[in-house]
Amino acid sequence: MKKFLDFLPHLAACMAAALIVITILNGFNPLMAWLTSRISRIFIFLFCAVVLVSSITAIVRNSRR
Amino acid sequence: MEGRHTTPKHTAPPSGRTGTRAQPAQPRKSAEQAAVRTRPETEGPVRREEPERARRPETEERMERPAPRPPKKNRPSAAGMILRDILLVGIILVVFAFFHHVLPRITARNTVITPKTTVVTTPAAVSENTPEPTPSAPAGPEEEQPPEVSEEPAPVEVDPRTEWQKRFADKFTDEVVRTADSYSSPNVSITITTHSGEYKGYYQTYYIADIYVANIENFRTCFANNQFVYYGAQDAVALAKSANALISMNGDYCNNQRSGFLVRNGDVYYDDALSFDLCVLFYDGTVETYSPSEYDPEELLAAGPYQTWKFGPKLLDADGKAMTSFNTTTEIIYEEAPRSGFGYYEPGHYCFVVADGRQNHARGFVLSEFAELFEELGCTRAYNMDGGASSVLTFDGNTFNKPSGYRQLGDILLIAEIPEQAGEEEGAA
Repeated sequence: MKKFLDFLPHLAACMAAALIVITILNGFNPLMAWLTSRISRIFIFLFCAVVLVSSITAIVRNSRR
Repeated sequence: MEGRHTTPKHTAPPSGRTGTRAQPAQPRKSAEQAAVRTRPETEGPVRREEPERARRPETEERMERPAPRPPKKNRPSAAGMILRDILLVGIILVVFAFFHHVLPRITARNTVITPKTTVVTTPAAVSENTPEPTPSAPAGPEEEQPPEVSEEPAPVEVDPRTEWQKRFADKFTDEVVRTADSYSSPNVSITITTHSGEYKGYYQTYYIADIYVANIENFRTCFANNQFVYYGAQDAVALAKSANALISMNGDYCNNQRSGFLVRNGDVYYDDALSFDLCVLFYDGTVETYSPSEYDPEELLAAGPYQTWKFGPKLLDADGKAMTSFNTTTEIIYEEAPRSGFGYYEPGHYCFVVADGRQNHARGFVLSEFAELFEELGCTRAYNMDGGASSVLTFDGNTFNKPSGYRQLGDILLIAEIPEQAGEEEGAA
């Protein structure tokens, strides 16, 4: 569990980078539904969930310090 | 660290006796135990750190040092961590692309999307073909009436032409006439003009197909392989030939989406609102272009749409003037590129405009120039279609323009003789 929580910030950063790439691609061709397709919405939801858990973990660790 | 101790240099004698003075050399555990033993129970619970701090000499605290770091071999280096994260980004993108592009194509390869409903509307041009009732002869005196020669009523001459055939009579011909860049028949008139030269300071090559039709059903669209399949695509010439197209132009590649407002040849595939400008060709031959906030899908369906396109943006405003700002955030649409556009003059009179680009003989149009071109042509409505390598104009079974590359098309706009008309012509021949 600890390893997983330590890995979450990395995962959040990587997903953020991937989302930036997808957003740029969407700017070039929005008709390909880079940000509006079902898989895109799932990806954005997962990204938000990872960021949320990672943030809560960081807040708890800071409060314990 | 507070809980750690370094081994004192001065060790206590091994006798194990306890003195009255606190001996720094004694183990801490025994000191704690002594404190617990001497403490009365009435003082409450013992705090763990108190006896330790009380008995710990300052010299010992000074001797405390930070805990040694764990061995380096267990900690990944910064470069390794960055490389690992970059690799993870790549894996995420590959997985995303697989689920976004590859898997839908595999699963939908053989899935034909059928229309939800069909718009039932009598084409205006056909309905107006019915002859008007002839006025009855004024009643006069009985003796002035001519003698009846026959009991059969006098034959009434009915003009079989549609309203559009009457209006554009000078454009149609009684027989089929084909040239290298034109086609005319009793039902269709197509004239393609090629413009090559300087346009607004740049060398451009573009093609304008001036089109007149006798019936709205002469104006059709066709999906790749003649069926609406997700991401279906077909060679432009093969697609035009399969649809018996006299002339065809690439469409909006609507089959890469599973939503929006899509009506083709009267069949309704999707009836959702969308964020792009919409172009609608109604059964009465009129064309209207809409911004996303300007239409309601239910109202549009009630108005009798025959074809819709959802690429855009629209190029002319309500007064037929070139738009100066467009409903798109896509930078590539503002770039110089091959373009395809559909223009509308009046019911029954349309134009296809295809511009070459990204080649030596043609720079390509930016969107504002393309809009100005339609304004100069006198169109009242104009709509931008898919461009780039998709911009293909075919005529009489051959590619007419010079596409900037090869790309299979998802759909086309086409002009064709409808089967009944073709049958009549063959019979007449």
